[in-house]
Amino acid sequence: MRLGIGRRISLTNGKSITVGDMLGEGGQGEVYKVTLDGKSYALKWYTSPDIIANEAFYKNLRNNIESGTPSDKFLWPKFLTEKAEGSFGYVMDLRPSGYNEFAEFLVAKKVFFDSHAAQINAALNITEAFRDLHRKGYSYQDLNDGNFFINAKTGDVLVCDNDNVAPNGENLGIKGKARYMAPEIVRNISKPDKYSDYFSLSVILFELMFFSHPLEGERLVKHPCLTEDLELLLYGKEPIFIFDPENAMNRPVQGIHNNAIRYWSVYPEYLRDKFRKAFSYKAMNSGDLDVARRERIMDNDWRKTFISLRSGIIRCPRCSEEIMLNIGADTKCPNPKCGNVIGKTHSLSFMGGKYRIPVYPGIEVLGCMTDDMCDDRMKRTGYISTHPQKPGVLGIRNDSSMPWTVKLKDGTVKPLEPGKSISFGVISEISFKQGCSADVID
Amino acid sequence: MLKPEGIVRRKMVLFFIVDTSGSMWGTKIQAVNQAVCEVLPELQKMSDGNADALLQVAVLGFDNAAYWLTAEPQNVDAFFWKDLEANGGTNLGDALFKLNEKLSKDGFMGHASGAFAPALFLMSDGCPNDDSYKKELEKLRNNNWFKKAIKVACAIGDDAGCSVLEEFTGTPETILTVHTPEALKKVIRFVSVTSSQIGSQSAHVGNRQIDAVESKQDSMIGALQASSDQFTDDSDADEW
Ligand SMILES: Nc1ncnc2c1ncn2[C@@H]1O[C@H](COP(=O)(O)OP(=O)(O)O)[C@@H](O)[C@H]1O
Ligand SMILES: [Zn+2]
Repeated sequence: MRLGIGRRISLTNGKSITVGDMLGEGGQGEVYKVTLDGKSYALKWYTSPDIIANEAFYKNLRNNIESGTPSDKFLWPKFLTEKAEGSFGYVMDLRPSGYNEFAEFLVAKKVFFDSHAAQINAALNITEAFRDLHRKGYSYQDLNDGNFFINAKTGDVLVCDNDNVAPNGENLGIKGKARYMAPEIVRNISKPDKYSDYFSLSVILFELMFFSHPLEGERLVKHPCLTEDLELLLYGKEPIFIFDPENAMNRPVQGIHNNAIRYWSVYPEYLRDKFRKAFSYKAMNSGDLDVARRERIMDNDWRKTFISLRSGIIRCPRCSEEIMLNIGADTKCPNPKCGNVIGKTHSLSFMGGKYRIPVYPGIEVLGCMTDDMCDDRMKRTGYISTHPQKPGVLGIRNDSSMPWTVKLKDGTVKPLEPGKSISFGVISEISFKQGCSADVID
Repeated sequence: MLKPEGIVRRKMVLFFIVDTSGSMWGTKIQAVNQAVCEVLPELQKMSDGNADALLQVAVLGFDNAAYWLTAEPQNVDAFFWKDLEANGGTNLGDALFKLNEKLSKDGFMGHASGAFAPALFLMSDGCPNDDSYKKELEKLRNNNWFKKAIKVACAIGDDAGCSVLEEFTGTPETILTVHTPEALKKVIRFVSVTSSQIGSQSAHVGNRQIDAVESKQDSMIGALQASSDQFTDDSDADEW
């Protein structure tokens, strides 16, 4: 039963909303534009009988509204309606203009990222959103490609469909999409929790970076018909990563999985390695869940990886294409018409490898790299540049407000005051504060 | 940055199998033509926003004989519905024969990156001329694509051979009977959208035993039951 324009619906807080145009329709309900106190919002109105009959779902929604959004990256439920016409719904903010659904980026017909920088920002924003959600004690439960709105220019992200979010360990009986679920959920061995979220997050991040699915290679296209049983096998019982170093049974197929093949070589080895870990046999083996859970990549870990990746973007000196520099190896310009190769650079390894950045002019050192208690990935605390008088000599400048200590190659130690620079040629380690340092790697 | 290609999608073909016999002439066939035209933009939007599947359409008409209106399945965004005309007999047998022929990898189901099982939507207002369809149905039932397919039928008016339609879908739960053009249009929209949605998504999991997944046909039955109030068409008289 569609809601008519002008219809008034009471909220549990005593106010009421006025229904306007319908904005869209999903698997569980309809979305309408509504007004409340003269301001426009979106109303999600349930039509799924499973949900309407689910008292726990309604209660959970109320709890989520009361405890509030984990961060500003969520289109979080703000108000709950009273039950009316045998259903109910919740009010959230309208999606601002400039955002597209994640699936549109994947379909790649009309919507494209402006740059790798925007794409990596999106990855960062998604990981941060889920870190904030998990830190609040929730699990998202049915993370899939329909849950994000992304800004193609900036990589800003809004997480939608937050109505299944529940305290970690609790479950509202929501069904998920097999391609995004952790193997143990596909098989129904256990209920969604934060560990299955970690897995789904890795799938989303892989798709975001490679425009391909991490488990869909040769093994899938061998079968003309993707039946439910086959999905159970490929995503549940025997998932195999398309780039599994120990199992070549499911490689991407040239001519079909072109994105996977092409982008795999574009990113630095440390990123490829993270994905190898995220989709290793152990991390996906639902026969030994304790191990699988331990092996999964946590959101905070992904975040550090993407911060490093974001920091390591340079422009190709020959064609000005974005290049994400390798650490400890040559990097080839991803522009096939260019073919420029940037030779191996020195690199900085912060806090035992938590962050890694190449030593290259223009690269910034960030607040979170120089202080383990600081979460800031926007604030610049250091800057790598060429010596003003000696071309080819690279140095690092202390852009923070605290003095650093540098260890020279001969073992002596000296301070580096704010605003001062020192050449990489002579140093082996920089200490930012007690317990926070970076090694200079040749 | 390098522009990506679209993510590799399985294809999902929605088959419209439409009775174009003489009895469909007039309001009935017009309602079909109009309803399908109206739902196409919705299907197109769905395909554009779906990273799981590429949605395609195939159309099979049947009267004295069956005939494909699509030489091969068409992407919904490139598909143009040519209005069907109605006259002649009801040769369902030939329709099932031709369907069986194309439900194969070398027929309509071939796709480099694979396909989901199709959705088959049969619309008819009468009974087949004779029992010859039974033999073709037997063959079709052994077709693996058919076995896995979502199968829905719309019985247009009281004369529709419901038992035949049920033989096709395999279950009475996916047969919808309509008595008015309005109801027919509603059903066409709902079935087209819902079967495409269910058919073009990866399997749903949850609420089940270990290592069991819900069949697409079961999901379709669930969706029809959930929305049954939209289709209860109790009018006594056929309004055609
Ligand atoms: N807060 C919002 N502001 C504007 N549009 C929205 C909002 N939330 C959802 N929509 C629109 O409504 C459609 C259906 O949303 P939803 O019911 O959440 O879909 P699903 O159940 O498929 O995830 C979406 O495609 C989206 O375009
Ligand atoms: Zn270049």
